[in-house]
Amino acid sequence: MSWYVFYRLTTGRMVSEGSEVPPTLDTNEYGVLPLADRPPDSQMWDETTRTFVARPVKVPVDRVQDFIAQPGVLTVWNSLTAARKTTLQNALIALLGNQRFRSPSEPVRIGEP
Amino acid sequence: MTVIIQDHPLYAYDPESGLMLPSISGGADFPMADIQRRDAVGESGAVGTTLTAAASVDTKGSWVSIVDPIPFNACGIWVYIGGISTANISFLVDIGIAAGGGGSEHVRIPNLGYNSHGGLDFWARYYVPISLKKDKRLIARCQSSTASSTVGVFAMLEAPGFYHPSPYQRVTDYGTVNTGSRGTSVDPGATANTKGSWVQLSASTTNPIRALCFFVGNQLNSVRSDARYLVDIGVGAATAEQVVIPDVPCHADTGTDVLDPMGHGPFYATLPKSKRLVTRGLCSITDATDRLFDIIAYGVD
Repeated sequence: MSWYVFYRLTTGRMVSEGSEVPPTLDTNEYGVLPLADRPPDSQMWDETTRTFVARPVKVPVDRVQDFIAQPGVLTVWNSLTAARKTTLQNALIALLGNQRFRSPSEPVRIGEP
Repeated sequence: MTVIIQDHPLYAYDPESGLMLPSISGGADFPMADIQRRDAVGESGAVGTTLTAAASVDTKGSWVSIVDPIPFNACGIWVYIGGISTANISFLVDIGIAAGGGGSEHVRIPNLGYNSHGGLDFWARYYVPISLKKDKRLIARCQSSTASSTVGVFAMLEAPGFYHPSPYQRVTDYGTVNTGSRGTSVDPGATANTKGSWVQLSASTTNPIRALCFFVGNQLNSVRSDARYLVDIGVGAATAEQVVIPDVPCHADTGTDVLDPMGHGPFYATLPKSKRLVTRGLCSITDATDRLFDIIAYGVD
């Protein structure tokens, strides 16, 4: 489906998007970018280039790595054999469940505001 | 039989004087709403009736009976969706009716959205002011972003009193995206606490809208940051949109990873059909992934 993005000519700021260009559009104030389809969520509007660019990929933080990075833990971790590291890591993954990964802005401690 | 209706002025509370004073318009003393009875149906140990999605992703599963028969002519229904699924799955739930005893299933409320959290903590709650006929079978089914997932649903039916206005008859969904069992994605933009661009949910609404509900979803993002959102619903051509429902709040937090509340409305409105229906949002954060949400609107007429 054809898709159109409407932006202010002065700032490049996107103001609307849709499947039709209204006949009453003020072309002195708004620019139109025609597209073959609505861009996926992996892309986002860039006011400078007035087009869509790749959205930065979010890299979640593994709380297993947070655990290893705790003071004193790294020394103990490095003393373990590979097999024991795997056992401990698997146990942590099972215990953390759906809280294993966090946003980079999220506190290390689970449940902390 | 002779019916006598005593016509006396409508009284209204005056906050300045603290008194009940006659209103300017006068008229008969009729309430604006009159609910005589409420029945909860489909609850099963507070987790609801279990719906199972199809073995293929994003495909509706089988219909399941919520109550058979509907005990009275209902003028509205509260629908509660939630509870028993694993984390980070997106669902779309149909509420329907069928002839008593089976057959002729008919969708009455399409694609109510729900995002699971992995516990029993969050329910999506919707109130839809539509009629549901007595002696029909109330049914539900679901689809999910992960095949064969399960979710709970139960309902509360409301019966009208003498003065209650006539309920609506039809629900039309706008902005449903079947792939991923979710809504239309909305980006509030890279500037915090500033309304983003309008996003089209429908180029031309199929039916008039007399009440509007909507679902706000989490984009299947299971590592969300704390964030606050305000959601607008509007109508109008591109660059000439007008706000119909302003600044509906919701929030996300790092613990639950869902947007809460998920279900909103009904907001009563008078919108003719063939209007361009749009939405936009504002977010308190600028993270390029976590600021996103998705939305489905439900027009009731």
